Amino acid sequence: MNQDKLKLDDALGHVANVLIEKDIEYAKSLDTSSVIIPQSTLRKIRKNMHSAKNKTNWWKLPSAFKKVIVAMLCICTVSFALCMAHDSTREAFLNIFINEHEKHSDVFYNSEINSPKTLETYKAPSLQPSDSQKRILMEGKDNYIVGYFKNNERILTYQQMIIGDESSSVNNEQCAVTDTSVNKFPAKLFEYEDGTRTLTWHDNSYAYIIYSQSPNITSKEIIMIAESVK
Amino acid sequence: MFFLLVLSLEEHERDCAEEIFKSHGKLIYKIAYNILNNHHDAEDVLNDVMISIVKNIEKFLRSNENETISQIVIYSRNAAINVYNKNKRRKKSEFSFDDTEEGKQVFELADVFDLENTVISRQEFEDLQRHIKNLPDEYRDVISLVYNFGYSNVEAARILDITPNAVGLRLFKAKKKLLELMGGEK
Repeated sequence: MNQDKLKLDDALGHVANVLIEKDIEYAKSLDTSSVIIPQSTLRKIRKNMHSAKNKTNWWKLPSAFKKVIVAMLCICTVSFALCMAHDSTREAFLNIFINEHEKHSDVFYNSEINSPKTLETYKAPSLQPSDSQKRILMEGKDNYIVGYFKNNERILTYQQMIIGDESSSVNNEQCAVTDTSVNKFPAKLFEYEDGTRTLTWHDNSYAYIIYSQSPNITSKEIIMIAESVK
Repeated sequence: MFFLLVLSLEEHERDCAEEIFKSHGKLIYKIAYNILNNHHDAEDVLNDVMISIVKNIEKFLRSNENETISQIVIYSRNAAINVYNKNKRRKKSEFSFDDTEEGKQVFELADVFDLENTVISRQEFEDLQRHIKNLPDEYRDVISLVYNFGYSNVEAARILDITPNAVGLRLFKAKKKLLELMGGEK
């Protein structure tokens, strides 16, 4: 100590080591030779020490990991922001979500053969709901739509269309979807909670959809009507 | 590389704790037994002290043999006193000032005695060396933990089973006692 005056705290820092000597003296004064600790106790304590160590590590590791994770998140965020600054990347990124969404909400048909680009022949069901009046709603190059009416209310709609890049959009919310077949072609039947139904299928040339607007038309009837399409 | 470092550190810590247990387990037990005079309680203290050592293993990794023994004595004595107090249905140590009348007095005195800025002369420094050994155990232990081994108030509080505030108060009271022993209040 070179200074004449010293702060009490600093002085304590210098002299506190005499307490270690006192503790050592005390420890040496104790005769531990007669101490016998049962092996079972030693095993239990070792086990507890091991558990405490694991707990300590569990809390210690995350703090190290936290820094790594924060650093990674920062890098990812900056990289993502830089990528999204480019129009092409942003468009591609959004398309992934849009395509994924469409996969789940739409029915896509891919013809194994080259399907016609326009409707060459119009096909309509030979069967129709009893007591209904048939009205052709559209006769286009890529769409042929027929409505079936009862008391001036449409109860069923039949649609024939070309198989193209565009899919047949069918609402798949709040409904049960069943795989079925129409004249041995795979089909999907959507049965909605309000009792209405939609059946869609294709025959490698055209895609077809039948919508029932009335809950009184059963799935069996819809499939029969679909199988009558010639 | 990071994981290898962590694994090697863990192994090192485990070895240190095991070494302390093997070399000083009986000492811990003996200190506890001297205070508690009961085998079961002494075994419980041995268990508690070893777990505390594992939790504060960094302090022991940096310590030499004498410092390790000193810390073990402090850990064991305080763990045993705490068990003793609990057995006597006194959950808190009788030296916990924070919610006692005495504690309030210490707070009031803190304004009068500005211990942080107190300075001592060379002569008083030598007196300090002499008197510090004569302090009661509870004062010596808290001074040793903080000034010898660099424990924070929170870390010391965990070892002594008191609140961090009580650690501060104990330190204050210890310094005041030292000044009194040295023959004057600064």
